[in-house]
Amino acid sequence: MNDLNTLLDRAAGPAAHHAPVDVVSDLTRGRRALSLTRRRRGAAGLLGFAAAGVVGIGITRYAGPEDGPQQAVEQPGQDGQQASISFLAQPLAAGPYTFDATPEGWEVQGVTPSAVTIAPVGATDQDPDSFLGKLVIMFDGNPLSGETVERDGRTFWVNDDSDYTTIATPTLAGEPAGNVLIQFPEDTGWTNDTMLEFLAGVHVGEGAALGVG
Amino acid sequence: MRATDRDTEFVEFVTAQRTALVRMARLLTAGDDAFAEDLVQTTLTKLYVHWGRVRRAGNPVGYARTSLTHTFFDEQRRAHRRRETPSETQTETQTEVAALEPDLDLAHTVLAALSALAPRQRAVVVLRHWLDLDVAETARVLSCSTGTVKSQNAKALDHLRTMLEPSIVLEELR
Repeated sequence: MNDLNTLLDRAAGPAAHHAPVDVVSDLTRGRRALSLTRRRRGAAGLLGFAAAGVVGIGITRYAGPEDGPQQAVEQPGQDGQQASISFLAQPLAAGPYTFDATPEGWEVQGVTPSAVTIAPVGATDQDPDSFLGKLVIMFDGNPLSGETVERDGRTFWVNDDSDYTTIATPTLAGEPAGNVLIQFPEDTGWTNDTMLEFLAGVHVGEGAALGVG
Repeated sequence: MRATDRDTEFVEFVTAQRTALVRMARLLTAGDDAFAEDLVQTTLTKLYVHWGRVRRAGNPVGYARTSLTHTFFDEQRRAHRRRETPSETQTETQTEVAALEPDLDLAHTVLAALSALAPRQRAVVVLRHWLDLDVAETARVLSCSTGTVKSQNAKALDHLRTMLEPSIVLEELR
């Protein structure tokens, strides 16, 4: 009788290499890819800004007062600029999570007890476990860190990375204890201001499970 | 995140984990060492670019394994990828190694049996029976249901038994 684990371990090859690991090549490839990603993002950002202007005009013309509760409410972005994300004054439920407003043009792609993935409508990447270019709302138990922002009596912790930003805040009284954290990409029109407003309207209900790790 | 933090943490991670990732890739590719190295390089490059996310996930090894598995599937799906057959040089190298490695025949037999599995079944075998992940964790890595993991695992083990026996008899597994 053979133990499959042992057979696989032998087939995997030696667990230790005689030669040292060539970290420099991996580091060089990573730096090159990161640089390329940032250049592309910069170019995409300029195009996106131009496109957001066009879309913004379209929304302003289309949404009149008769549109009622689903009227698109444009949110001012940072520096007084118009953000490309607008909200529908329409609650959104996703498993144990509820949202006071719905980001227009975005839809819930996946729900687990510890996270909700929200992606642009029609996104080609339909894998709810893939977070690239999407919003991810997590119920998180890790310690809070980062720059703090006070808003409407609540404290939010903001962390900017090269690719995306996370904002976290403790859940409200009456909700399961933990932090609600949102992660958003920096090239899809979300600003810290619009995201703070969105996050403030996220509610964690019974059935939510703290994310591990 | 400062670039120096990213570099320092990445270098530490690669130094500690690269060999393990190459071994995992070798099993996923059923012994195609060149393909395995490509997968690891691609995975590590992705990890570097998204290092902030890797750090926040709190489990860089798990993140890397998931990324490697998904990269493997992505590459498998690329229709234009030309599967290379072992060259004479590789065969000579393997012969030389055989003299030093008494387990090589056994390893080749196991890798040949793995190569007969569908990529997803192979991944289930690697995750469940080499990395010892439980069904739920395997399902998470593969982004599928636990039921799928169980059925793929059962089919894969049946197939492996058919391929390996009678020369190698596997102990009963679930």
